[in-house]
Amino acid sequence: MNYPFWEVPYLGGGMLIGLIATLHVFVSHFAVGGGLFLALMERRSYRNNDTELLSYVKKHTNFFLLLTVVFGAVSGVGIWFSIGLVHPEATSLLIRTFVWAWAIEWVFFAVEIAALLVYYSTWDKLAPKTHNLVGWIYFVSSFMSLIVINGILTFMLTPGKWLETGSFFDAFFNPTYLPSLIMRTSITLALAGVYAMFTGSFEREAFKVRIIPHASIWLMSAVPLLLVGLWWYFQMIPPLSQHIVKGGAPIVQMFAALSVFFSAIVFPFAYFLAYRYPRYFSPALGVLFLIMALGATAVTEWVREAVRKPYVIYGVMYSNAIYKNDLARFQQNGFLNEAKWTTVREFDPNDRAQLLAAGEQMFRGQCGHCHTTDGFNGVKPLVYGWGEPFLYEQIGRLNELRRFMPPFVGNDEERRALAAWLYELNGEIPPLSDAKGARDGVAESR
Amino acid sequence: MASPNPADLIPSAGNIPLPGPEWLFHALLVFTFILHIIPMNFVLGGGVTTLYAEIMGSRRNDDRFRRLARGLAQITPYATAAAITTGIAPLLFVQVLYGQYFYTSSVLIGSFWISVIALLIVGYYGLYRNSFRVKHGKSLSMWTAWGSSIIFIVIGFIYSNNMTLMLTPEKWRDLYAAGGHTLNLSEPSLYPRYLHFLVGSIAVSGALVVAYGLFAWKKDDGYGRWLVRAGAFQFIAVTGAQFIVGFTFLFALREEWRMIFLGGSVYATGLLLAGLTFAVVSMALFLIAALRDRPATPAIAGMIALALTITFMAMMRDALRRHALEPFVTSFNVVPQTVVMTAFFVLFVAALAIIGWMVAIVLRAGKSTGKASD
Ligand code: HEC
Repeated sequence: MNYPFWEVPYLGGGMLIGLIATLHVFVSHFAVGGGLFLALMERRSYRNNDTELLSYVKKHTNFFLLLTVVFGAVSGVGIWFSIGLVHPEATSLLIRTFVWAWAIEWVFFAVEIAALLVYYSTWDKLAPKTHNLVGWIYFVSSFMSLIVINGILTFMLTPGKWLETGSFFDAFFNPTYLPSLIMRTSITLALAGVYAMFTGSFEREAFKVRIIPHASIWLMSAVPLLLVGLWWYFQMIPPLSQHIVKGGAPIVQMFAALSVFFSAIVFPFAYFLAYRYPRYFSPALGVLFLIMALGATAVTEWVREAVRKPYVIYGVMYSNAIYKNDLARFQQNGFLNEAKWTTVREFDPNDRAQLLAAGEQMFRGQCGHCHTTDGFNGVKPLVYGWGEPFLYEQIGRLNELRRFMPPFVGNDEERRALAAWLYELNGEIPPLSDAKGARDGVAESR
Repeated sequence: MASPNPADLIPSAGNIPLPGPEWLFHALLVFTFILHIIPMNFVLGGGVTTLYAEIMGSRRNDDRFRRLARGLAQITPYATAAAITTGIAPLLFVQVLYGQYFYTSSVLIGSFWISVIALLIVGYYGLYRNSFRVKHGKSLSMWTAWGSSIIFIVIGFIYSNNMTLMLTPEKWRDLYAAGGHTLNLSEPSLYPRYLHFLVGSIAVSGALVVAYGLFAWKKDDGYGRWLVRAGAFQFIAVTGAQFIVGFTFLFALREEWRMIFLGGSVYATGLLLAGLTFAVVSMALFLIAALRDRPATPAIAGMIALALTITFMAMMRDALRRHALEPFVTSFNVVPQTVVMTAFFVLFVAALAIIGWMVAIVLRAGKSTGKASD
């Protein structure tokens, strides 16, 4: 516990990051693909002298600006805030390793924002060619910022040769860099289509039948690319991560299946509802597609986070901020002894109150990054009915019990303390919780 | 915690080397902070000025005030975009140099700190709402204007909390016991520091009104002249008050921190004197601008003097931070990432050129079509 622990009641820090990140990805990827869509559509409307298309592009720009410049940008800062609060140790490592990459991303981001504001406010004021050029500047800089951030995101799961060399380029161009870039690029295109279908659904019928099929092509053509990216990505992730997806953790497997399912099902939906029968494509259907796309984003992000367990930076730092290299030292010297942010350091294991206080600190330091007590992934129901000696036993092999949990670290007294604290969460419970079953049991024994 | 020495609580910064020279990160931190604080003052002070102008407009039934309010309502969303964009860089560099202090203080006020994000989204949309209303010829929504202003004022307060808390490890122990749901309210220098920043924002917005007046002048010189005067007097009066607030802040600092500005360090004392000098110079220049028929030259000179004042103030802020953390700081192990670092600087210059080009074409377009900006 090098850093203080930030408790997020009921939700847990990981879940909070996940929520912010999902919403951010859903908007920021649109900010890239949608930029390409705008620039291309504008160019097409000039070439064909298509005023109807041009007026749609203008309206779409307003929507695009309000969503990406405000929500997209601020939620991106939100990811930073939340990872700094939940994972200060890992964030610190990432910042030190990638500060220049982040600084470069910031430069692209600044151009992106400036270009979009200019684009939005100079329709009819600039020569069409110049205005369109600003649109292209927007798209290229937004895509460049994706190219940069992708290196940092993928590093966390596959740090690759960086582990030995410590070199920036090994960290950045790591084994999942390219497959992830393909995946993300395809998502930007798909979302450009989905959002255009949404804004297109409000158009008059005569124009709707033109824009909706076109937008649906953006979406449909992204699907094969996405599947290729996904497949390749899966080949490159660590064996334990593959195992988790293949069923090592049923819920992750289910979510991964959902992710593929959502992505695949969107194809026939888009074909029939949008491409074939655009006339009937109502705003409600537009919203339905947005929800499906958000669902796909959410489960995909969730799986991406889940397969990194038990690490936050693979092979280097566990999800609970413990460096893998420090395990042996903690095991020997005790975890609390080495911790900066603990209210308990030395304690008398025979004093129950002291033991429990130490147990709570152990939970904060080693389990609280993934478990809440009562809320999401709450540990209280997970250990319901476990006796104290059994808890003590299981704590010693958490990483075998569920391979995506880090091993417990600490000395024997600390292990007892954690077991005691976990036990007290539920307290003593009737031997059989079901009253009827208990009575039957009694009847039988007579 | 178990041990009483505050230095024991400071997290170790890990063993990843610093990927560039320390002085360079310092320079970037201060430089990008200056880039950030100016538009941020426009957001905060501009929002307050919008409210003030709208209220005066209806009280005195003076259409110039209402025009000003509408004009500012259209500028503030852009200022917010600029403030957020430029704010990312100092947030990055402060983490590089001071991560162990910054993360800790952030965690200690965690629920407030994360709420900044939600607040910012709501406040920002509020500004856009009013901007769209103006565009469509509707009146400002006072509800929204109040809401956004209050939100930005609150965000500033949360930031001041974090920035003071990261400098005072001796406060950390007690706050941790409160579990991340409280602010650093027991810090005596917090209030004058925050007030210093609020008052500064309102003063700087006066300069924004002057700049706006210079643009409006070409189309409507009566209105332009009025704006330049109103902005200049706002700047002068509020900056005058700022002298009192500033000195209150200085004397609210603990003695060993204050003394660096009062002779203890030649560098820090020089910064204070330079900052004060340029503040007085800018007041004089704005006064001249307000009284002249051709105000552009003194007004622009006043803005440059103001920018210098802000620069010196930002450097003082940095000097204070360095001094406060000096007892705890450990030296960095530096292994520069020369290639990426160079790439950053090259791209940064290229980006400035591209942004400059875009601003130029916008200004040119504004001139040739003669479209009013309000
Ligand atoms: C990397 C994140 C992570 C960390 C750290 C972690 N856990 Fe878990 N743990 C999980 C997940 C995920 C599950 C699966 C929950 C489920 O099956 O619904 C789990 C399950 C459990 C279970 C139920 C196992 C079973 O077989 O039913 C127990 C008990 C448990 N954790 C205790 C702990 C304790 C004690 C710690 C701290 C020493 C800890 N965990 C740290 C992620 C973590």
